Amino acid sequence: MQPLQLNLEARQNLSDLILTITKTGDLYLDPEQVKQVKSICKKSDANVKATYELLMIQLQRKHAQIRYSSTQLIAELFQRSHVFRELLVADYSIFLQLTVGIHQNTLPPPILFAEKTKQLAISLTNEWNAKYGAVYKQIALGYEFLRYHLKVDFTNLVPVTEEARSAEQRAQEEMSRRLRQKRFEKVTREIEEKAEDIQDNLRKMDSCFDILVPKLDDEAVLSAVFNASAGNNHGDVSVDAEEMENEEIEGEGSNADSETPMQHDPLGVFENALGSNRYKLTINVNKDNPVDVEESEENSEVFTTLRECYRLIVKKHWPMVMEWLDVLMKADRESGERRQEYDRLLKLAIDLKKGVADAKSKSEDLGVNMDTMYGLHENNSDEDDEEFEQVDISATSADKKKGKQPKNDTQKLASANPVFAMHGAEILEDDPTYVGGTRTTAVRMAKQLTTAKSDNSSATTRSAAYESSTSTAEDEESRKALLARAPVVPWDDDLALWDKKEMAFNTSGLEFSHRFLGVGDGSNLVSQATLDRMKMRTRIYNPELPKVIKACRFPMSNGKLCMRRDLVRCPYHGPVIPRDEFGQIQLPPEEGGFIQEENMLDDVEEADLINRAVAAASSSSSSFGTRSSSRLQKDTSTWEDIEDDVHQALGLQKIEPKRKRGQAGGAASKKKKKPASALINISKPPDSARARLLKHVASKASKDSVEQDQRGERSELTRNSRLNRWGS
Amino acid sequence: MQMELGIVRPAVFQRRYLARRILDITLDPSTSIQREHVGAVNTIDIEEAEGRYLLSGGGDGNIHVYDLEDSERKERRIIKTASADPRIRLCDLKSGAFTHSLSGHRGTVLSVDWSPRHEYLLASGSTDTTVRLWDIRKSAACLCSLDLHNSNSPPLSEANSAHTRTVNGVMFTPDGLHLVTTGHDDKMRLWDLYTGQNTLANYGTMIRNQFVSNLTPLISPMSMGSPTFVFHPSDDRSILMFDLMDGSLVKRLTGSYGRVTALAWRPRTQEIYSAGNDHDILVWAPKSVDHENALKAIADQDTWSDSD
Repeated sequence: MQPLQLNLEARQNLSDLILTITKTGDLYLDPEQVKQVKSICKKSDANVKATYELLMIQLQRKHAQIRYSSTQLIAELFQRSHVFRELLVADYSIFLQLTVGIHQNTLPPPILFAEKTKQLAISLTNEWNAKYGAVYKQIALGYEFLRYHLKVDFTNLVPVTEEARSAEQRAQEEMSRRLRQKRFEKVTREIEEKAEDIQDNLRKMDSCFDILVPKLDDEAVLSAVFNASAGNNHGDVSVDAEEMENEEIEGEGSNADSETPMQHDPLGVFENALGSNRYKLTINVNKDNPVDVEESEENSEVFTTLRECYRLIVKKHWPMVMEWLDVLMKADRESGERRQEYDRLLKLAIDLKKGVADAKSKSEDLGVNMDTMYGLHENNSDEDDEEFEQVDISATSADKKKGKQPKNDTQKLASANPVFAMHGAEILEDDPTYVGGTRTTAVRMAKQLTTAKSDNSSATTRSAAYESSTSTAEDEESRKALLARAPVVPWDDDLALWDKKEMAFNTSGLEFSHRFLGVGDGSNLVSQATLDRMKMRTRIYNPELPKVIKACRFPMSNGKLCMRRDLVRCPYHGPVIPRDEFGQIQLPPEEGGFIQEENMLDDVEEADLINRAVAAASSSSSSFGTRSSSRLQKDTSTWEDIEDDVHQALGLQKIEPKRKRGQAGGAASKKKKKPASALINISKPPDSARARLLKHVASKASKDSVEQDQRGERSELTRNSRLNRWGS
Repeated sequence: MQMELGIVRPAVFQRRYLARRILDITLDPSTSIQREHVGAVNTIDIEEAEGRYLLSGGGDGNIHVYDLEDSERKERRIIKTASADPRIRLCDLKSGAFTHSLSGHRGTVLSVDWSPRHEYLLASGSTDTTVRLWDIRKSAACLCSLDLHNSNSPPLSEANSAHTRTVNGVMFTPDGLHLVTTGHDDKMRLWDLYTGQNTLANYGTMIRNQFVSNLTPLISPMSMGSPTFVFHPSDDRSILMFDLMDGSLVKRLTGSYGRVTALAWRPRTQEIYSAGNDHDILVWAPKSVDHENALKAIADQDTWSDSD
């Protein structure tokens, strides 16, 4: 070991640093400062020794926060420096005394940090024992001592040193890696087993689809489809052939911004109730039921099979495949042969997922889903047909006017004003399912209706109104006059009764007396007094306090006005009296107290005051700006100003002799603030219930009163004893 | 140089080596004695014939016998006896009867020791602050009461006192020429037995000794020409190692977590065994070089990171 030469400068640095680090009281050390300490310690072993001594001094402070910070710093240095370890190990029992509180030592308050320090020290001992226990017997002994005598539980400790933390992390990673590996292997086995099943199932479903849904590449089927639907949509509609495989045109509507242009065939136009071939068509595919395959007697077998397969897919295969994918995605990518295996499995899983998803959506398109699991009889889809009812046209048109539409209508309304006249619109109007054309007519009809009615109804209402108005014209006049002077009061219970002369109660006749309304005198009427009371209005009185308490505004020696706001009397300047902006009295004070106090100021002070007042008056006449600024300044005057003033008046020393009068505003801002420290003040007794009670109980006034009571009791006793002395 | 030429006499060599080893003594990280007691260990001793068996008596009422060569342990149970009698009774180990009763102390006798030089000489320390020397052959057995201030008062004067407070440890040096006593006044004193005078060796103020129980200092084997050391257990859970003659503090052995109650010396391996009231017996041994090297390799290096 090199000779321990103390570098004074480094030592000074160290002690400053350690003091600041340990006195912040924060939960975590400032890494920058810790780094500085380390860099100083790194230079020489003498510095390490000095650091150790300083830290032990800090550790002995009777404040848990300082001890906590010191312990953290010790932990930092312990794992770095061999010399530090040697030093600490020699005093390890002292270290434990100060941090854990062994050997009847108690940790200082605050309790929270004491507990934290203890935990930290225990964790450190645990980790150091694991690492250095074999070399430093003292640590092992300390560990044993804690375990054996203090019964400290060393399991489930949070790792505190970096190494322990990283070791724990590594262990966790290793564990999760193993878990992933295990799951991966399991999934591999599962895929090998189940893939065949799923593919079987998919094939089965495919064959079902083949039977149920015609394919587009089959010319015969295609033509059949088109011929079958020629009745209502006869047209050359350009839709993707592949879409046609699953979907069929369900309905069409005319719309201005559609995409598919009609190409020819006016006959089609006519038959489809289209006014012109210049309309554009949108083909809206019904999302609910795109494939128009009905379940019937012939294909019920196929549907049953399909349902079974579907159930299998939804309940078992789909979640299974998703899980496979999940596991495969998370599994470790390895190279070489395993990698190929992995890729193969992943590809297989993705294919399966695609297949299952396809089959699922296809069967859902066919109306097979979890709701329609049990075939035709419980299927409520065909109830839709019965929703159509015979309704008369006017009713429906009225509905349409309100914006309602029949349920099966998915088309948008035609524009209100068709540019081109409708071909055969009259016929179509009779068709209840037709909307576009009838809308305008409906409007027209409604108009006609209202005009026709107005001939009758409006006449009658008008006449009725006229009659009533003529009969009650005078009442109306008086009513208006009454209303004009009637008071407007908010609603309350009394308004219900205000015009009642009498009020019956208990109309049942069974009982005369009422719990609340009192005993009737046989008349079953509420007594007049009660009724009067019930007519009274509840009013809640809230007295208004004076909102603005005036400031004292006594002119102080620093040129400002006293800011104290007291109701009656300022404790420094006597009764509060109205003053102007410069503190001059506007009305002569009634009492002499104020004048007396003013007289106490010495002559110089008074002259100064007068001078300033004069100056202020002159400046106020010249410019308003300065005055307002002075008022601003006045607002910043603080308690100290008042205090200074009073002290001055009483001939006492100022509290802050450094401050110069007249610069008070600047001095206040110049005042240095102590660096904020999170250290908890432990010298202050805790605010306990006992302390609060004691404040009252032990106060002089209460003691006096108790004493007085006791004295009274005692004197009474003596008086009584005198009274009881007989015959003397 | 002298060693290489072989002109150092074996005795001197042995002495020097011994002294060095004693100076090197520290807590032995490799060996440990299994914790068997469930109460404080009050006393330990090592049998003298072989230096192999360690006896320990504990506050739990058990005496354990440890084999220091291998970790075998035998157990015997006896009932602990305590005496608050101001007389010293001598028991004949063969017959088991009391043979002598030495009276003179006016307080509990806490510590006695036989002189290694004169087999009839006995020293005792008591709570009456005196240390008395006895010749058991005589009927008026007490030879003298040691006096702290070396005054000229008669040897059996009532005013004589060896410590200002209770004496709880007396120990002859191995050559029987000196007596070491320690007491509750936190002082250790060295007495010259030829003159019966206090040598006034000053052992400093580090000693803490406040428990009313036998606390005997341990003196390392003496040899001419090399310092002798005395080990004194202190109440602050450490063992203080002093130079016997000039009283300077040589070393402070820390590491025990309980008050050290007794020390035992194992001559063959120069080991110290210490019993503590934390139910534990610790082994203190000179650092062995090869062992150290193996262990310290991990712990020795500084691990300053480059970023600091």
